[in-house]
Amino acid sequence: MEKEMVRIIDQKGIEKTVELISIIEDKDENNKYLVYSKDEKQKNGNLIIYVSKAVVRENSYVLANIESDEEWRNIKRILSEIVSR
Amino acid sequence: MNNYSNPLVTYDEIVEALTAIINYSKANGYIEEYGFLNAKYDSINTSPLQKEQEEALLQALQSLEKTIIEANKGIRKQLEQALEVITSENIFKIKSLYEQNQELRKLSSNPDLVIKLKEMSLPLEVLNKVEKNDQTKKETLVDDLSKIDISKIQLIKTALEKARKSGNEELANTLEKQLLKELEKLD
Repeated sequence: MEKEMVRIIDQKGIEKTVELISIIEDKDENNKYLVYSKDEKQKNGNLIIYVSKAVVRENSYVLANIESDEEWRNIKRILSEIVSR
Repeated sequence: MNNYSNPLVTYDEIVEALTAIINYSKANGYIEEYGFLNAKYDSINTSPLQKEQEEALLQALQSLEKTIIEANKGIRKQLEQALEVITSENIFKIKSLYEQNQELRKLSSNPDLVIKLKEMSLPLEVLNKVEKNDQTKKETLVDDLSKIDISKIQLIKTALEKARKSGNEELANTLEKQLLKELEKLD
């Protein structure tokens, strides 16, 4: 499967190119999340994937931390549901 | 349990042993959750356990997984309930960590599941335009880390304004250069 790369800019203005893994949605909370990778592989072949929240800022989306453990648990539940389909 | 195949070990003893393994794993930060028993158990980063302990724990977890998976359907269900776990054929490690200084949430994912996530992804275009509902949504996260490059020029402009307001000239200059570069691309 072809890699889809996106560029993200952190708050220090540093640009990073990461691989887009997935965009997921929590319909109940009307939240969207970006799942991406920095191509970091573990010894067992697993890939480290990152999840950030897409929040609206000045008519566009920006990425934000997922700060609440409850929200994080919910995201993992959504991911689990997706991969179980 | 009368129908358990090993008469030398009682069902309650098995549950007790497996619960101990899970509790020990959790107490040592080795696993955060135990929703998926087919998970990979390698630690994402430095484990607080010594190597020997970690290996022993890994074996214990694998035995636990094997015990449940190989149990007949009735026993398996009861074990799941007793241990408060859910077995699944999916291999997806559930372990979250804060990346130092960045507090990013991350997971370890089997390559097959990465493919599955890609297949099931919403199109990138959903982040290109803001829906009206989203605009009115209360924003609680102020100090976000990063921005997606979808409307890059707008993002740089916003960051530039912030940098200027905060008096961070060095960042402002960098962003100004980036902005000019992006504008040049439009020409």
